[in-house]
Amino acid sequence: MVSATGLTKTFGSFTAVDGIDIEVRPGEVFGFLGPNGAGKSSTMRMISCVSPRSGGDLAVLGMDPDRRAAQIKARIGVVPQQDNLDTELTVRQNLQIYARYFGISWSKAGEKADELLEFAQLTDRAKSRVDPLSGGMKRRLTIARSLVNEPELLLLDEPTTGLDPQARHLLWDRLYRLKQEGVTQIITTHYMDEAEQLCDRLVVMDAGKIVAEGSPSELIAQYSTKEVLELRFTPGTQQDSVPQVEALADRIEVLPDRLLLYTADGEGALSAAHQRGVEPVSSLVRRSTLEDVFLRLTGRQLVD
Amino acid sequence: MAVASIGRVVPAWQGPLLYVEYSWTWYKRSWRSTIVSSVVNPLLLLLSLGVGMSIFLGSNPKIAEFTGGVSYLVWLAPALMTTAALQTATFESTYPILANFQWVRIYQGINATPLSSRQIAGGTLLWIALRAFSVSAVFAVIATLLGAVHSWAVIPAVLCSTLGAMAFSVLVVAFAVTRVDKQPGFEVVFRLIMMPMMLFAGTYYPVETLPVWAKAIAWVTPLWHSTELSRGLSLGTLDPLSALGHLTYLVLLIVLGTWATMRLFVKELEK
Repeated sequence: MVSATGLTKTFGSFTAVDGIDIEVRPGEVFGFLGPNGAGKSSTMRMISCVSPRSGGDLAVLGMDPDRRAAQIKARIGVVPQQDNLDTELTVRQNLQIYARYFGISWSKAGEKADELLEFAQLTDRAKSRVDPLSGGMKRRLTIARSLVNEPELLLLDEPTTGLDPQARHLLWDRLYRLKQEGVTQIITTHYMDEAEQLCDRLVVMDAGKIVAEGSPSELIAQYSTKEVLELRFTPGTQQDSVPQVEALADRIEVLPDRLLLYTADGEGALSAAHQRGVEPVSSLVRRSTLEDVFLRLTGRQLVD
Repeated sequence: MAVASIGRVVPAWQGPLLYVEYSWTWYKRSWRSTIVSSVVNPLLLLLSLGVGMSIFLGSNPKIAEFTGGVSYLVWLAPALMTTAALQTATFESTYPILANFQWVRIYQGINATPLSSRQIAGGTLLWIALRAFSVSAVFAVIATLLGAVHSWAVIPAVLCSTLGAMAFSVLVVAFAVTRVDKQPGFEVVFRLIMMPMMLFAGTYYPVETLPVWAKAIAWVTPLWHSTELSRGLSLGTLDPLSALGHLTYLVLLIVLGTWATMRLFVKELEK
């Protein structure tokens, strides 16, 4: 669906995307995971044919965005990071008008709008203006709008940033349904739980480069341990206990208020730490997540 | 599980029309608020300036010399029409453009569809032209009802009024695009360009009465050219050669401004 080699985007002397290679297969949900400024959005804008690439090769649905942007855009759906709905029109009008840009007749556009209102659970708000809707509703409407042309490829740029947990789960459910219908999706996110929930395969991006690639479980297996022991200390004192626990883990990360001990057996490491006289304010044993993968790869946390 | 999209690329000419269709849907819900400016304002202007001044000036022979014998109201009406059209079009070319780029981001939304940046720019200009045309047409109807129109030539005069409004508007739209994410600076356009233009373009008195330096200002403004065309048509005093000159100037500005606007839309939307 999308294939890129050496894809690059520069703004003046700043390199936002630094020669990345990606291959997105039909039907899969592909993720870009990375912190703000990693180059995820710039990559998405190049794929959605609204930003010309500075270098490398890119094919979307087998076509070159530089030459066949309109043809590509006719067959993809885009959910931008920032909602750009017409806040003064009604919910239904937003969908109907948008469908017209894809060469869909007025009456067919109306039918499509009603169908998508149902999908986005907004039918009872059809005649409401967009302005007073909640963030979650606006986001659902934006996603519904991206589906007016029944896209073969759906691009979602941080689809749930800023939403409450309930709204996020509702959105994830809709995206999962689309996947079952065979719609290929590309998602950017800086939430590891979102990436784990939705993505079949993902790349971890940092400073414009891809630093790792695989399925969530592969990445965790490759770059982290099975379990993580978190020892929380009064901020500033965490460093003092490092010598005592160093030998208990494969690897240690020092965060401002805690130590992360990477080990196959978290409980075992915890009791060993207690035996050595380490007294954290609190402790937690959990399984590894993509957050740990990211920390390992970049030395930084995903969400500051 | 192959999915086939129902989206298609619309023909190049249809893109701008789809933007106009959107604008019309948008306008329908708030047209009442524009009624004041498009109907009440011309009515007040024509009554106060046209009728009022006509009584004040009476049958002063000097006035008749300039107006070619017709009443001041009849002489003034076509010029007020071009001014009203230009004012509306100018406003439509400022804050609404910025809103579409940076506040509501309508343009970015449309740019994700098969419509190109150029088609969006074209649709924007076409919509402003339709607004200028509707203001001119409503004005002409009101002027007719007040007895200020004596000839069918008012119809081409309405078109010339639209042309004049666009000759300025295309430049303002281009300027507006350069102001995205910056201080708008539209007050400069309104106060230092539009206002003087409205005062020096021969709307209320003939440009011939002005000193040379002020005449030069009038000649540069698109408003003077469209006023000359409208008035000349309405009063039947237009000679073909000067008509051609005025038209050429206005069309040149429109071509230049449209070209600049399209380039700037591409630059802004396809970063």
